[in-house]
Amino acid sequence: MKTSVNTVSFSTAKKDRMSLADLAATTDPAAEKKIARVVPASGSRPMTNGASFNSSL
Amino acid sequence: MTGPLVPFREIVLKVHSRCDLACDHCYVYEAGDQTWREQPRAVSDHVIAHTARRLAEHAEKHRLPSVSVILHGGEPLLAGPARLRRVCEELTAAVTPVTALDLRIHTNGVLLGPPYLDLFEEFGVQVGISLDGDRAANDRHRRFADGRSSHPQVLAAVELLQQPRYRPLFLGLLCTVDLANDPVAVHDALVELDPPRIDYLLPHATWAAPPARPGEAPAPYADWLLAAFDRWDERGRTVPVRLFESVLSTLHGGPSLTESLGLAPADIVVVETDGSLEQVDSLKSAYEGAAATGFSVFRDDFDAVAAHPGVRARQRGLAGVGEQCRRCPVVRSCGGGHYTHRYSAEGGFDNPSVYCPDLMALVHGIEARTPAPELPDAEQLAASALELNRLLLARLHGVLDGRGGPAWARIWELTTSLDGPGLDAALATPYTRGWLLDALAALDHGRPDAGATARRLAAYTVAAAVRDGAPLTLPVPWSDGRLHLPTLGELRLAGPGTAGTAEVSVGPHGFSVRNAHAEHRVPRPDRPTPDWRPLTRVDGLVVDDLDPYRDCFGTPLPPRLDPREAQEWGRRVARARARLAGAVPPWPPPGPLTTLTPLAGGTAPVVGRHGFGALGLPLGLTDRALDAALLRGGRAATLRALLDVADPYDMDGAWRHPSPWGPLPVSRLLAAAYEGVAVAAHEGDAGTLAELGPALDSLERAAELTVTGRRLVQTLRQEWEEASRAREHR
Repeated sequence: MKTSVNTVSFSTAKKDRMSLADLAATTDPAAEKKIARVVPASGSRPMTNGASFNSSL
Repeated sequence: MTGPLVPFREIVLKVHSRCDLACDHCYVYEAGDQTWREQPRAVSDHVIAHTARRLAEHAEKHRLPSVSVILHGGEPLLAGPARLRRVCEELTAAVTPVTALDLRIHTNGVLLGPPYLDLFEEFGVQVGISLDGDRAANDRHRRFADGRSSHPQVLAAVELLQQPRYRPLFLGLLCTVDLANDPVAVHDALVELDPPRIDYLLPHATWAAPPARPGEAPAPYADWLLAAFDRWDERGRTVPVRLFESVLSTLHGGPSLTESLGLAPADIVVVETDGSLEQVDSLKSAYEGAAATGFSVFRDDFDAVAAHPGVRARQRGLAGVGEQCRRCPVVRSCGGGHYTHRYSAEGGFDNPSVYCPDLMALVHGIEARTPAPELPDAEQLAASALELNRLLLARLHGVLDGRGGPAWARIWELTTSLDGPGLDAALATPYTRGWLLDALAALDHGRPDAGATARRLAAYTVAAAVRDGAPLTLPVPWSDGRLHLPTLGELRLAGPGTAGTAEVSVGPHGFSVRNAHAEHRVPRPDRPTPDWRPLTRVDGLVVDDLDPYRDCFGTPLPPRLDPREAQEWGRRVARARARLAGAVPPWPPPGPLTTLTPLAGGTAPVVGRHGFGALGLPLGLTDRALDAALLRGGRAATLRALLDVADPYDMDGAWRHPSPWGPLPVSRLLAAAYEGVAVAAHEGDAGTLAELGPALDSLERAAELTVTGRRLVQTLRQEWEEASRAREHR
């Protein structure tokens, strides 16, 4: 298995991080995924996509 | 299959049943099913109207956030611009009041021109085109009935879609694999056309009509696809390739992205030109009528089709694949392959894919080409945990969405103005996670205390101001007679069970608290006063028996310790940590634990529902027991912190793995092995070390592991081997 050296996900660099105000103002799918790891699903049924039709894009 | 219906999210609407090409690899015209001959050539106004109505009803009933309608065929452009306009108008009018409508069309491109593209631009219809590579590759199958090449016309269509005006409509290129075509040349030819995305399709085949396999190679389709993958990688992966990204997604614990791979449910229904409702039309490659359901848009709603056994069979996940697939290590990525490709006359669809060797080799090949992520160290885990708390706080503000009133607005304004080291330190405390999750849950459930729970942010803001030396005045909620300031301590304001809001003023000399008719001054937050109790700190460890959210271990807490008791207990824990650090080998690595909270009973350490760095430890442990508890607890806390920020496994619980502790799901097996290796190494117990070998074997075979999980298990194996060697040399 190849091993990478630089793994952006776990960077400790703070200089490029978004401010709290900007975090609140933007919607980021990556942020949503991080939150979903620790926030239990709410009472409404989660709506996820199924598998995409093979014979089109 | 029991359980709720899976609503359809993708509707394939056949707008024309014939084609202007005669591709000899077409699953509609050249396979077992010839029912196309009985279909009307073009979809009628009645079918269009009924389809639109049924779709709107379906979306409304199931509260779907969006639906996709893929205009298909045959060749959909043969329906002509006027009929396609009718389709778009009817669907838009019926569906968009109910849900978001995503319109697409998939075409051979031969007839594509401005009359169509202008229509698609008007209704936002995105266009996908079939193209098998350069002219030589494409001409191998995709010709007119008279043998002419279709390549020039398709290229003209792609060139139109490359124009700035029509570029937003361009979905991408779909390529059917042919082993006779050079994969690198095919990939290069497609990429040169600058599509937004590409996908590679295995030619439809079944056990009854297997794919061509020239030569002796056991997995030639995998070889072809991996050559294309390598070229894709070499060229910087600039154009997304759905097949490759689906495998990569599942290797990292995410969903599959295509019905041809993975275990995601198929939520696709086909409407034929005569209005009949069918299963996915690739089933036509299996046998005549394989896709039929007996339902139609005139008589039946989409739920009727959704309940059809053939449809349900493709929504069962792991239970929907055969026994051989359920035991396969790549099943999360492969999913048994495309449903149609499993068909045999003897076994129906209860088989592995006819492409099984290729799919196995493809997944293993992509995994081997995927860099295993470095596991985060303690510093990185702490940074990730802080980032997660900041995201949760931003989410809290977003969920409040103005409902917090002027009080929240003031707190938020001050908090964002202090967004720096002091606030980071406050937000990084482990029990902040509990408060944030409680605040979000309170809002989600409409609890009457939701506003007050959220306004506890003021305590963090004040703590940050104290740490930064930034003057401010802010009302701060308090409860159970105490005002708690994270990272600092707590102030007793009144008797137990009482609550309120006190005005806190931060100045150059500590802070003061005005509550009711009393004022409390705390000039040095690190020093106690009659009412102020600072947090106990010993050798870099915090003894936190103050934070109201420390009650998260599922076990009783003792009353607050006397400050001297807290100091002494903290010293004992610090000595235990020093003993472990000085042991051979040194366990645990320094850094992961920062905050210890005493527990009232038991003998085992507890990792609760908190953020990184905390551990619950029972009072009254002997030194030896404290060493063992700190060792186990440190490992458990590290693993929990990793699970908060990474995905070592997916589909936990789908399998039970043999282990020294009985059959276990992968999460418990990993946790037991992770702690067990550390303890066995520290204690040098040969028996336990030997017992852990088979546990690691089980883990290494676990299909649930992602690339992160495999890296973690690889690290565990190395630790175990080092410990075993050290044991032998003693």
